[in-house]
Amino acid sequence: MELWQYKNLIWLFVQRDLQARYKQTFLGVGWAVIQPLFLMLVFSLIFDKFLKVDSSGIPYPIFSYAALLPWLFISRSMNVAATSLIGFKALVTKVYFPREIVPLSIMVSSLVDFAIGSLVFFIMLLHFKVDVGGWGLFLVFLVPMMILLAGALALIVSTLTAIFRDLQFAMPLFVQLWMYASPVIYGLQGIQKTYLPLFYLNPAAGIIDSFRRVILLNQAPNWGLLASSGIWAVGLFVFGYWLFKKLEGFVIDIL
Amino acid sequence: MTSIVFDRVSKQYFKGPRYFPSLRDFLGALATGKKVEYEKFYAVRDMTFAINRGESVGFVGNNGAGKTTLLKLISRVALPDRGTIKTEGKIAGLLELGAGFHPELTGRENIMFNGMLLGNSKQEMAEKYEKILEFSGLKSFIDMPVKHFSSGMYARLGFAVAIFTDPDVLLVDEVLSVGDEAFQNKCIEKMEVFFGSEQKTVVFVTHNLDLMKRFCNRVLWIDKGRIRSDGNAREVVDEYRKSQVV
Repeated sequence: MELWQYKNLIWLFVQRDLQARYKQTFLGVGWAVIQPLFLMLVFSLIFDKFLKVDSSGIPYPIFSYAALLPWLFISRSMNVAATSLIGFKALVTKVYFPREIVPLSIMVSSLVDFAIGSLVFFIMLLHFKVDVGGWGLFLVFLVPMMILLAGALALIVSTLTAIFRDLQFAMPLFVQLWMYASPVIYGLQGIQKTYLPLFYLNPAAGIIDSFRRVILLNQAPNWGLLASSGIWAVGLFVFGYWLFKKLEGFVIDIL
Repeated sequence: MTSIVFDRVSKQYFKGPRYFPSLRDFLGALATGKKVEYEKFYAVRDMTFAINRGESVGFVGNNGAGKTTLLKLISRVALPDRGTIKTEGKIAGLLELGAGFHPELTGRENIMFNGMLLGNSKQEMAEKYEKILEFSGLKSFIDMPVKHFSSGMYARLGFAVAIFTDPDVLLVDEVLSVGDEAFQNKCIEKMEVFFGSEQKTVVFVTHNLDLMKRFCNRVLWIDKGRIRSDGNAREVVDEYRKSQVV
């Protein structure tokens, strides 16, 4: 695949994105951690202190952080990738290179944030004295699945937004709604049984729920839900790549 | 050995007030079942030609004839609506000033960036870096973000990177005219070396007809998206010149 020849270029784009984001900010890379931490604090205040959402006996802060980490990775990939082709218009319309590098490098750059946020997560695990067991190793499957899903979404939204510019404004709203539809603020155990099947329609649900289960509860994931996420991830990626390539020519013409 | 082959290639672009498809139009069309009409025009129409390795070909024609579109099609920046295009080897194009440059990066960073965009490895670019810098004559400005470069500086850097990455096919589109005479001569010399080699192909677009007669051995006269004439450089250029007399 041609993409392999350009692997250095992907890394160059990622470096560029990281530099651009953190060079001029005072706290630099710290921002990658501040976002999940800040949300965790706000959620803990509202949904734990005020509302007392059921968190299966896990301390709410780490309960929400464990979900925020994969969620912020997926949502950032979507939001930033949406305008990525538009933003790189000058480059993309004048020189040839595999254009999928643009949205995919956004996803990789978000992965770096995820990695940094994970370091803090590790510290939190120690602080809350969580007994991480053998199931924690299941991350080896969860992380690639998460990456596949985020990559798929990046490819799809970047193409669609380049064509239908209105989507730029709809995207943040859509992502926000999606967060509420996912087990980020709450856990699936609090959901009424009749509504549980709806979560099969949510590609991110299985991934996020499994993240919590394998790390914080040392439990097997909900296999059915995880399988649905897996199918979503693979299916959306294949579809997304195909869509991207199919519309690439058209996008270049109208950018 | 053919370097570039066009077979019945057509390319249309949008024009007119309805340029952007909007979600509203699209959904509206879905709802009513009616197709939305967009105005189009042919930039390139049913073109067939072949360029062999080692040829130095010029494209002449009026503005809007389709020359730049052809270069975009050759370099895969644009895709044809109809027909097939086959190219061989590494293609480097100077299609526009600053093409392939990231405005926020410095000249130094852009040499690496642009080179890698053209498909070269990091190592190759590191090796060629000094030569590129030297040729461009921009040593004292190289650490400035290129968004502050003048058009002449863009031309220098762009040409330097393109030619030193040793492509098999070089596409040059009117960008040289921006450089000063000294630089133009330098480029011309370098291109003569490039042209002289039997394995390299060059496609040159310029309105400087004498330059074209000097370099190219073959010229295609492009008119309204079609090939009007294809042959010996001297003859075709003279033909074209004659048509330009009002």
